[in-house]
Parts: sequence; C-alpha cells; structure tokens
Amino acid sequence: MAVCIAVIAKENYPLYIRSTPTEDELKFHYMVHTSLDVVDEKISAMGKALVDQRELYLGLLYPTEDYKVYGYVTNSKVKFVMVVDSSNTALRDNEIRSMFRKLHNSYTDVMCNPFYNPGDRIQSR
Amino acid sequence: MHSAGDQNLFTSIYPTLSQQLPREPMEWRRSYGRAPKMIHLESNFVQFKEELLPKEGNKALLTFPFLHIYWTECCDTEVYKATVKDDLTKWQNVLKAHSSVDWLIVVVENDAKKKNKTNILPRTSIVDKIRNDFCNKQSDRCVVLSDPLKDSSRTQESWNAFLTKLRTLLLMSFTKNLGKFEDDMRTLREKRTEPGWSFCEYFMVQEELAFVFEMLQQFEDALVQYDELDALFSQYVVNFGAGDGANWLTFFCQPVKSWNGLVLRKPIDMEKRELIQRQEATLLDLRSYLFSRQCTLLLFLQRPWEVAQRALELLHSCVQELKLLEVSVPPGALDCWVFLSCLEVLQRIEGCCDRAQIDSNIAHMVGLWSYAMEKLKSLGYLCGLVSEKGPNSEDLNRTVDLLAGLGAERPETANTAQSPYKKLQEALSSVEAFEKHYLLIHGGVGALSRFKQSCSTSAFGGNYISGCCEVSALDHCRIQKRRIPVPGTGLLFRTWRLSSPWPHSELNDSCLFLLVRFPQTLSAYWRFKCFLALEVMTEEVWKVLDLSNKQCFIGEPKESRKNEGWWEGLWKDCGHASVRWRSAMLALVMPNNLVFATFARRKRSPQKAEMYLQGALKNYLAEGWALPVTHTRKQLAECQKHLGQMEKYPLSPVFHEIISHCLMYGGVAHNECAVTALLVLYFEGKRGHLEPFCPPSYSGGPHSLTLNFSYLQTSSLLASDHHLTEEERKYFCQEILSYASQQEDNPGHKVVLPMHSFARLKDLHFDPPNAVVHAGGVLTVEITVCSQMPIPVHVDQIAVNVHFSIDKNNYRKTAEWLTKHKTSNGIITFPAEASQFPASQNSLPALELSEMLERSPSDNSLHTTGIICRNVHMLLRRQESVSSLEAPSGLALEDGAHVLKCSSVTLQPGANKIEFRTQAKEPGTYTLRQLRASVGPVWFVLAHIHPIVQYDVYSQEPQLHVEPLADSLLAGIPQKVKFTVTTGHYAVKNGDSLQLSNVEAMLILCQAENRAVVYSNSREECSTALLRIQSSDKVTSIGLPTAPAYHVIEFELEVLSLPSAPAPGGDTSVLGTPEPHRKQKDMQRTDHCMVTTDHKVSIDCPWSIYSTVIALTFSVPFRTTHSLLSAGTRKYVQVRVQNLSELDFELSDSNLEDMGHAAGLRLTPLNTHSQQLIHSKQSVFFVWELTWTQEPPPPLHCRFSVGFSPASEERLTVSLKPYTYEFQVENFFTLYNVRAEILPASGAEYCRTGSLCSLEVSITRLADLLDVDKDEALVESEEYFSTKLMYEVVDNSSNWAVCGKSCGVISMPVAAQATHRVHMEVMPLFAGYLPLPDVRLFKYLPHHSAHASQLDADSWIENDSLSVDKHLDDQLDCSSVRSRGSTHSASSSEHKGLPMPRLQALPAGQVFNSSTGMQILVIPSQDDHVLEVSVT
Repeated sequence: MAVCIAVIAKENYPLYIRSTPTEDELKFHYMVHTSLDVVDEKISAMGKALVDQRELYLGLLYPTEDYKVYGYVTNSKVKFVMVVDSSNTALRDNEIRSMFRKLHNSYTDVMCNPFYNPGDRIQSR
Repeated sequence: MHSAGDQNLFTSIYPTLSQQLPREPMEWRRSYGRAPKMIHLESNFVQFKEELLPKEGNKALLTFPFLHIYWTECCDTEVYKATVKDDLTKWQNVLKAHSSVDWLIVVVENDAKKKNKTNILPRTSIVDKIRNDFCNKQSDRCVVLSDPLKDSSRTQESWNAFLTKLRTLLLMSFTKNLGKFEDDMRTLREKRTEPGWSFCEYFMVQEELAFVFEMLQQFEDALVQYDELDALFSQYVVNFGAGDGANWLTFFCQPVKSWNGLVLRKPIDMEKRELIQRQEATLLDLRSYLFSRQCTLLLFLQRPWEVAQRALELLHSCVQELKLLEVSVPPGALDCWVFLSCLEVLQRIEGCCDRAQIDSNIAHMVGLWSYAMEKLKSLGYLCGLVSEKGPNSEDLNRTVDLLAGLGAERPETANTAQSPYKKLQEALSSVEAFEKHYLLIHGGVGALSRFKQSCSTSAFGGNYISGCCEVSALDHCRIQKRRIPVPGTGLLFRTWRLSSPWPHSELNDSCLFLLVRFPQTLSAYWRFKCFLALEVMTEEVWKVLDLSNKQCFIGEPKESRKNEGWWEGLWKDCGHASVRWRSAMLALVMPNNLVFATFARRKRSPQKAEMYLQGALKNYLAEGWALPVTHTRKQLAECQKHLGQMEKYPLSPVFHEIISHCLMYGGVAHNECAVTALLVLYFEGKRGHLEPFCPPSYSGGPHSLTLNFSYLQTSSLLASDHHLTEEERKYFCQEILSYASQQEDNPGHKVVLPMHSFARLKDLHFDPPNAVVHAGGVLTVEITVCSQMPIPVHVDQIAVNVHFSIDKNNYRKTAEWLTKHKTSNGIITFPAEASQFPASQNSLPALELSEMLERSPSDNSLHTTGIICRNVHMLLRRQESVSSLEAPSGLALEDGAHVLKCSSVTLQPGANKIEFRTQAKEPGTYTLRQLRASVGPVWFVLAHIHPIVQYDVYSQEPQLHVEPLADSLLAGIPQKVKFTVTTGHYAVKNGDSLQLSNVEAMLILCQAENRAVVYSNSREECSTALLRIQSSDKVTSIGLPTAPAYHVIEFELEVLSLPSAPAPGGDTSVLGTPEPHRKQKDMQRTDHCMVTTDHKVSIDCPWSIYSTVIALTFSVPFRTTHSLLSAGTRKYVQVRVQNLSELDFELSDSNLEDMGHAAGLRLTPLNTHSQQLIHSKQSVFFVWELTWTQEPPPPLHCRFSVGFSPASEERLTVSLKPYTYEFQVENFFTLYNVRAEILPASGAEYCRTGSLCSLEVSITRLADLLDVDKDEALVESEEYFSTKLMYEVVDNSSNWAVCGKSCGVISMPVAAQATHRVHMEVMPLFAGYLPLPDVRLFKYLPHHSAHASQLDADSWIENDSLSVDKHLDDQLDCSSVRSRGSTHSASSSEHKGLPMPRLQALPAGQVFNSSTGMQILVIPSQDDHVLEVSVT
C-alpha cells in the first residue's frame, strides 16, 4: 500500500494529494514536492526518449530513509507521485507500475467527467 | 605462471618476457555469449614448486598458476637423455597428477652453444626429440626461442612467435580455469539454501573473481561481481524480514559496536576484509567494505557522481536493514555513521574529480548534504547541543559513548585537517562547535539552494533577487581578490568557498566599510552593488533597482558592459543546469527553527534565515502547495519574531536612517518607488531634500518596526490559515492582539496590514436600497464581514474611506447603474477572493480562435487559409511573479474627509454585520474606497472595494406639478387635477399657500372635503390634512399643510372649463357643397381630434418669487356640424352633434334660435325627445323646419344650444353650462327649379337601349329679382333682367350617352315662372330602370369677375366626372370642354390678362332638382342579340 498519492498538474500545483497517516501530512507534502525535482530532471533528461517509447513510468524517484517515492507522468505532463513505505519490500516495480496504471485510468475518468473543470482540485469520494 | 626447468636461463630471459608479454592485446572470447574483449595480459612468473599446484577444491583464482612452462637450453642429445628428459618426465607427471593440462616447453637455442658442440645431429634436433617424447599430439606445446638475448631479425621473429603462442596458451588456460571457477562459484551459490552455507565464504569466492577482473582492468565486470553480492545480500535481508531466515545471517545481527563510517580512501580495506573472511563482520562492516570496493571501482570508471547516488541509497538501505534485522544499535550510533559516511563520500568525490564535473552533478550532492545535516541535527538534539542550557551530564555521557564508538581515527586521514572524523568529534565537543559545523553544512545546502534560485529562469522576477546576492558576492571577490572570475556556474561555488562560511556577512562588512568610508569615490554602480549586498533592502527595492532602473545606477559604461555580460553568462549557464532546487529548499525550510535560533544566538546575519524562508515561501506560493506554505510561514513567523525581539541589531546608523526615511516617505508600507528615490537622493548627497518628508520626531526603532510589521503580517496570515490547528491559530491571533495592546502607549504609530487575512468583505447592504439619498437624509450601510480569526477580536474602529466627487449627472447615471448592477433589495455581494494559490492555467483567458481565409486579389482564388488566435498578446504575456502576495506594497492609509466609522466592534469568527450610519451632506457621488479595521495601532486595510460601491446624495429644488387625473381634461364638466408639491430642501411652514390667479373660463371648484396627503421621500404616507381654500375674485389661495423637507404633498382639485363653441369657420358650412367626397375625407380626418382650449394658470409658490405658469389643456367633447336640407321650397336645418370623448353624455334641452330675431322666420323643432343619450364616439342629429312668412327671407343667424351632463354620474353639484354652437344659413331660398324628362323616341312606347331618346330639361325661375341675384351675371336691358346660367348634363353612372351638346349657356330672364327648356338627345346604354342623368346649373360670370370665384371653377374642373386632360395641346372634341380647357388655361395664364368667362356654382338651397330620384324604364333593344359582358 502506498502511504501517499499525489496528482500534480502540469504547472506543479497539486490537483489531489492524500496520505494515509493523516497526522504527518506535511511531511508527505514536502516529500512529494521535492520529488518534483527529480520528475523535472527525468523529464528533461530523457524527454525525447520517453515520448518515443511511450513510457510514462518514471521509476523510483528517490529513496529516503523511510520511504520510497515513485513517479509517473502522463502525456499531458500531469504527474502522479506515490510514496511507499521503504520497509514494505513486497512492492516491486511491476506492482508500482500497475498501481500507476490504475491511477491513470481513474484520472482519465475524472477528466471525462463533464462537470469537472480541468485544473480544479480533484475531489475523491 | 609457473616456470620450471633451467632457472638461470629463465632469469636471463624474464625481463624481456615480462616486458613484452602485455604489449600486444589479445582478443578474449568469452562463454555465455558475453561480448569478446581485447585485453592485455600481464602475468607473474614463479618458480615451479609442487605445493603451488592447486589442490582439489581450491577456490583461489588469483594465486592460481595458469600455465606451466619448462625452460631448457639443452642442445646436446646426451645431456638431454641424461638429465633433461628425466626432469621433463617428472615435471609432466606432477602436472598430470594435478590434472593440469596447460603447459609449454620452451627450448632456447643459442648459436654460441651450438658452435661449441660439434656432435649435433642435424636431423633430429632436441626440439624434435622433445616433441616426440612429450608432445605426442600437441606439437605446438613445444616452442623454440632462438637467441633471445641477441638483437637480430631472427631473434625478433622467434620472440614474436613465442609471445603469440604464450599469450594464446595463457588466455586459453585462463579462460578454461575462469570458466571452471565461475561454474564452481555458481554451484556454490546454488547451494545457498543448504543449512551450512555461509555468505562470507561465498563472498570471498566471488570477490576473487572480481579481483581477477580488476586485475585485467575489467572494472565493469569487477563491479558486476560486487553488485551481485550486494543484491544477494539485500535479498537475504529482505527474505529475513519476510520470515525466511538464514543461519549465516545471524552473524550480521550482532549489536553494532563501532560506527566509524565508510572508508573510501583505501582501494581495499583489508581490515574489514579479514573480518568478513573470519565471519566476524557486522552488517555495517560488510556494507562498508562492499561500498568501498564499489566506490573504488566506480572511481576507476570515472563515475564519481554515481558514488554519491549509490551512497545515499546505501545509507538509506543500511538503516532499513538494521531495522529489519532488529540489530540493536545504540542511540545516535547510526546518525554518526551516516554523518561520517556522507562527509566521507562528499570529500572523496570532491577530492577526485574536478569542479566542472561536480557542478554538473550537484543534484546528487544535495541529497548527501541534507542527509548529513539532518543527522547532525538529530545528534545535536540527542547530545543536548541545541538546548538553551547546553548539554547536561546525561547528554555528556551519551556523547562520550558515541565518540567511543567511533574508535580511533584512521591513520590515512589522521593528518588531514578536515576529515569527517575530526569534524564530528569537534561538533560533538561543544555547543559552539556544533553550531559552527551545523551552519557550515547548512551553508553548503544554502549555497546549492541559492544556486538553484539563480538558475530558475522561469520565475525570473522573483528569484532575481537571490541572483543579485550572488553577483554582489562576485563583486566582492573582485574587490578583495583583484581577480576576475570566470563567469558561469562554477563561479558561484567558488565564491561561496572563498567566503565560507559567512559569505554574506563578511561581504556585508566590507561593503559597509566601503560605503561608509568612501561614498564619494565609489561609482554609483558600486555604491548600489554594495548596497544590495547588504541585504537590508526589501525585495521590492531590489526588484526596482535591478530590473527596471538598472541603467540608472550604472555609472561607468565599462562596468556596465561587464555587468551585462555577467548576467547573460549567468543565466545562460544556469539555465541548462538541472538542480534539485525543491530538495534544497526543503533542506532549508525544515530545520530552520534550529538555524535561526543559532543565528540569533550568534547575533550574526539573522536576516539570512528569513531571506531563505521568504524565498522558499514564494516558491511554494507560486506552485500552490498549501501545507508547505503554512509550515514555511510558521517558521517565518518564528524567525521574524526572534528578529523583532533582538534589541541591538548590528546595522550601521546610516542604514537606520535610510530605512526610517523609507518608511516615513512611503507611509508605513514599503513603497519601492519612494525607497528608490530616497536612495538616489541620499547617495547624491542631497539629504536636504528629505527633510520635508520626515516628521519632526520619530520615536521607536524603525527597523524593529519593519520586522514587527512582517511578523504581524505573517501572524495574521497564519491566524486565518485553516491548515493550522485551532490552538496555533489562536496563538498567532493572540500575538497580534498582544502587540496591539503593547503599543497603546505609543500613539501615532500605525502598522498597516492587508485585510484579506484578517477578514473578508462578504456583502454590503444599503438603506435606502437604491443608495440614493437626499442631502441631509440618513443613509445606512450594513456590511457583512467574515472574520477569519479564530477568536472574537475587539476592533477599535471599522471605517470605510469614502471618495467624494461632484458630478452633476451622477444621479441619473447611478439610476441606470442600479438597474444593471444592484439587486432590487440593495445588497451587493462581493465575490469570494480568488484562491490564494494561482493556478496559472485558470488565470489565462480562453483562446479566441478564428478562421482566416485570404483570396488572391486577381482571380479571387483561395491562396491562404489558417487559424488566427486573436488574443495572443494575452496568452503570451509574461507571467507576473507572485511576490505581491506577501508584499505589503501599495498599502497605505488613505486620508479623506469622508469616512464612515463604526467604533468598538467585536468581530466574532465568521460572519458579522456592521452598520454604518451617515447623514448625507453635500450632494454628489460617494464611492466606497477602502475598508479598514484597527486594533490598536494595527490597521487591517482592504485597499480597494471591488466591485465599485457608490451612493449618491442629491439636493432638490422645491417643485410643483399639476397634472390631470385622467388622460385629458374635458371641457364643460368638472375634472380632477392633481397637485404635487415636492418640497425638496424647502420645509413647508404653517401658513404657506399657493396663490392661483383665476382664469375666467376656468373655475376652480371648492369642495368641502379636500384633503392633502403628505408623503415622505420614500413614498410612505405621513399625514393628511384638510385643505384650506379661499377664493376671491382674482385669486384662489390654497393653504398647504406643513411638511418637512424632502417630502411630497399631494392633493386634488376640481376644475371646470366653461365650454365655448368654436367659431364656425366659413368652410365648415356645408351648404351647397359641390365636393361631397372631399368633405367626407375632411370629416374623417378631424373625427378623432377634439378641439382643445388651453387655460394658463399662474401660481405663486411660497418658495419662489417667480410665479409658476401652468397650462391646462381642456378638450371639447363635442363637434357640431349643420346642414341645410330642402324639398322644393321647404327648408330644414339639421344639426349634428358628435361625441368625441370616451364618456357618455346625456343631452337635454336642445334649442335652436335665430340670433337675428328676424320677423316672420320660424324654427319649428322636429325633435321629439327632450333628453337624449349620446354615447361615446357617436352622433345625434337635430332637425328644425324653417318657415318664413316674408319674402325673401333674410340670411339666418342661428345658435344651437344643448344642455349636457355626464350620463353615468349622479347629480352634479354645479349646474353646467349648455353647449352652444353658432352658425349662419344663407341663400336658402329656392330660385330655380330644374326638371328633366326623358321621352322615348317618337312612336316608341319605351326607351330602348341603343336608340336615341329625347331629354327635356326645363329650368324654371321661381322668384322675381332678389338681392342675391345682383352680381355680374345679371344683365339688365330695358327693365328686363336676365342672368346667364350654364347648364350641364352629366351622367356619372355612364348609363346614358349624351349625344351632341351636353352643356350650354342660357340667358335666364329674372322673373317668376320664367322657364327655359332645353332639348337634348341621349341614348341609354343599359336596360332597366335607369336614373336620369344629372343636370347641373352654374352661374356664368363674365371674365372680370372677382378672383375668388376662380377657385370654384378650378375645383369644378377637378371634380368633373368628364375626363379633362390638362395638357393644353390635347385636342378636345367637345366645345364646352374646350372652353373649359381654355378656362383652365385662363387660370394658368391669368397674368397675361386674357378675358375669360368663369363659372360659379349656385348654392344648394337655390336650386331644386325636382326630378332627382326619378327613374325611367329602358327596354333592351329587340334585335340586339349580343350581350355584352364586361368584366372588370
């Protein structure tokens, strides 16, 4: 299970961010925010290659002592960031990848909602 | 390599051999599909010893002899047989026993020796013998090396052959053995699930392989071995965590006793290796060793930044693994280890690669720096080094334990001053040392962060300032070092290093020094550069200085060009670097409570922390991260609070002065323009200019004021922040309140804060709702304010600043505006403020795209098509930096005379209603501008109220309106008229009255119960009063009830316009009109409009010396026409009364009297009813018979009168005057009787169609000569009078065709019973009863008659049923027509004076056509078989 999931707009403001231990929300906000550095880096470093390969998954962005941060970027440069507990060794790359894919699908569903204005905060039920 | 045989010989050859062997590369083909590689073989030769041969199960590959060589120089068969052969056999046997197949026999041929021995068998050389004896199938295992020590071509050749052979064999053997080794290793690895398996053993085996690869310079392969080991170990740890424990792993679970960090300076840390070999290593030992090896290899591979990257991963995973394995670690031990390791890695990297490489890979280093900082921080907390009191004994004990765990410093670093070990030891030794080291590292991160800020080109404006710091730092270098650094990224770091750890404070000192000592010698540019470096200015100042006015401050052109170059270079270079600025920022933000506390304690550069925080905050705001914004603000607040509390702030008095000037000049706010201007003035030595702006005395430190100001601002933002807990919000709110209460003894000093954090204006309600009030009236404005504060706040005063403008037309404008913008109930709702976090895409306007088609002008074919975006300028506009969100720029208290105030209000959290009451004074438009709330000296200001809210005050002159109640007033009956007195600014006193001058034709009816009603301005009824009306002959006085100003008095009066008949116009006479059609048309036209009469009433009002004239228009409800009817000689007068009004009337007492009272004339009414109802839009006719006894009767002057009253109403109080109509009847006496008769053709009984009949017209004169005959037509001859008449037979219905002359002039004798007969031929055109043709009679006047009669002739011609062509040149066959045509020409050519006769119609009463209405039967002609049907 991911401890924090964030959907971040192209302009780097959060569309949706939620963490499961809610008392330490700030830490995760900071974590997600700093991980954008790496996302930027990865996008700019291999932007071309990414487009060519249609690979949206960015892999491990950076590990900290307690958490691992994974990234995913859609074609419209909307970023998904997932924070996973480092001690959770059961989560492999493939699981993370499929989680991102599911997240992408639900994001697409949100975008398809005619009552949703692109750019607004996303509400989750 | 294992060499046996002649050792002396080998020794002599060895130097050449070992030198030559690695010279040529060999292609190494590898198993498992690995790519072949070119390698250089380098080998070691050892003397053959049997014990060196590998035994079964030996794992050592490094010491393994790959090739066994037997050297011999033997060239003598005897010797060979005696010793060498035995020796060789023995050697071979040994090898076979060890199943070694890689061997080589080298026979060295020496010419010198050959010559000595003569008994050489030429056929079978020693070589052949050896080959025969030992190499039964592998003849290539014996090589000849001839004359190795000589320098000849033969020697060279043989050497080459030998070396190639040797290399091939060596590689073969190596490959074989390596393959075997790898297989063995794999086998060993497969056994890892078995109980007895040991990781350490396996580690040694695989490391052997790595060593071999390393030896072969195959670092990549070597690294792979270590990575495999790493992965294997990690996997075990993970599995252990999952419950799958391996026995060997328990070794690694022993408690950690030593934490001396990574050692990366030695290629192989033998100490640790031995520990592993002895299976005594701890997890940290293993990891350290493994990483040091990996690091070594990576550095060989020239990938130092990968070291940094891996180091961070390693450190993280080690911490995790220790947790996972539940290894007991003393508190702080891991922190020490990580800290040391981080620094070790950083130092190692910096030591081994050049600056450029580091700069391009800063990203990886930020992580290590911040990790180290984090760890040092936690160590600081652990050892009590950050507490106020310093460490206690417990903390000291812990510190000692930790230091013990570090062990002794390693010999290789003992001599370096900056070793991590020494750093840590020092840092833990005392509070001061700790702070120093902590800030040092913090400075490292800060440098990276600042580096970021200057890099980020996107937020140019916001981050430019930080760039300024950097550049000023560069300038500093120039000043101090007299050295021009290379522009670019590397520079920044060097700069930092030069002045580390206090780059800015040192800079400040020197700048300040320069500035104060040599203000005149420094160029303006340098002055400002120094100034910037001082970090005192707010960001706004910097922005203004450097962005817009940069040119102004650059004194010397040379300098300026250099400066430009720097900037450009800086941006260019930095633009490409990817820097993890967010991480760096986080590193700065997170631990800042520690940083600024230490900063504060050390009393050095305390704004620095604030500056960092402001920078971070700006970025978070720009990217819209709510929680980080809140957190950073919290930090900032704490920081600012500390700054504000500092009593003595080390700033030169010069700057105190400047700042105080700035503050004063720009209000309390930081008005950047003012500041800039001041700076310029100051430095230009024109301080005198400032004096007017400075208040005479200013107490209180201005700088602390700024700080307090920013602290209060941050506090207010935080107090309204919903991300904080209730307690925190209350705390910050309390901070503001306590500040406010403290400052109460310091009057006149104000702190202006933006309103939006304090409260939000929700809606506004005007009373009166239309927001228009008369001068002196009371206006109520009720605002709803949503307090954002968590607790009730007592506000001293809430005020709305009002802008007053006099605009004459504003009242009307406002009315329009009201209908558009205001809801009917006068509530204005303010839109909720846009989210604090600007989502840039939301603020962008929508694309306005339109299609564009261009056609070529020549052939109109389409040659260009495209899409145009019409609002590109909007979209591509540079995004403004968000700095204004926090900046207080432009907030100033507006002063104005018009202020709505409300004192002493307590704002509860949430919505509050506040009511302002004001009495309107001057008329004009009042615009609500600024809303402000004051809590002590703290003013919360909403600079602009948007949308615009206005109210209007008007002043009005007293006015009187008089208007009828109904649509129009009718004359003759009492009608109500409403009087409206709008008092305006005039208050009606008791006794004021309206004086109406009377008009004769209009009566003002005074009723007993006339009431006046007084209304207030908003149309509410105030009072009623009886109206006092006094009438005299000329004046009616109406006493007004008392009414205050801006009220309305309304009352009604009845007026009666006396009806008067309009004078009958000449042309309204319908007697004998020859143009009935036209008359009818006229009638229709006039049907709808009533005749009106205007009555002007002049009224004297008490408020004015001038009298008001009011015109009342009354309409006459009736229209009357009369006509004369005659039958033979009997005459009747008919009067038609037409009701034009909407009302029904009752008519009574109709009467017609002769005004002339002629004797013998009598009017006999034929009307039966005395009372008649006349309905709206209908007519009533009255007829009188006119009889006379005396002949001829005189012209009759009549007056018709009829009484009328509205039919529906009850009895009226006043008697109404009858309606009268006067008219004249003339020439009603019949003079001629015309009689026409049609007789069938002679012999025929009836008239037939198509056959001629005779028309007999007889004109009989009925009277003798009368007065009326006396005109020009009268001809007198011998007492015999005759008059000329023209007759004309006209058949309008075309029933008859008149044959021959249809008209003629006769001379009629003027005598009774004189008769003139005319005979004419007419032909009926149709069958049936046909009316006779009309016979008309005219007076035939001679040409010199009056001009007036011409009109009649004209009209006659026009209305003639015969077609008359008006063109003179047309030929007309009828003579009469021709004559008429000439009449016409006469009319048109009258000026020529041609004498032409004229015609005058006889008045209708004078001619009686007795045959009118007669018909004659016409029979269709018998032989007419053709029936003509005309279809029209």
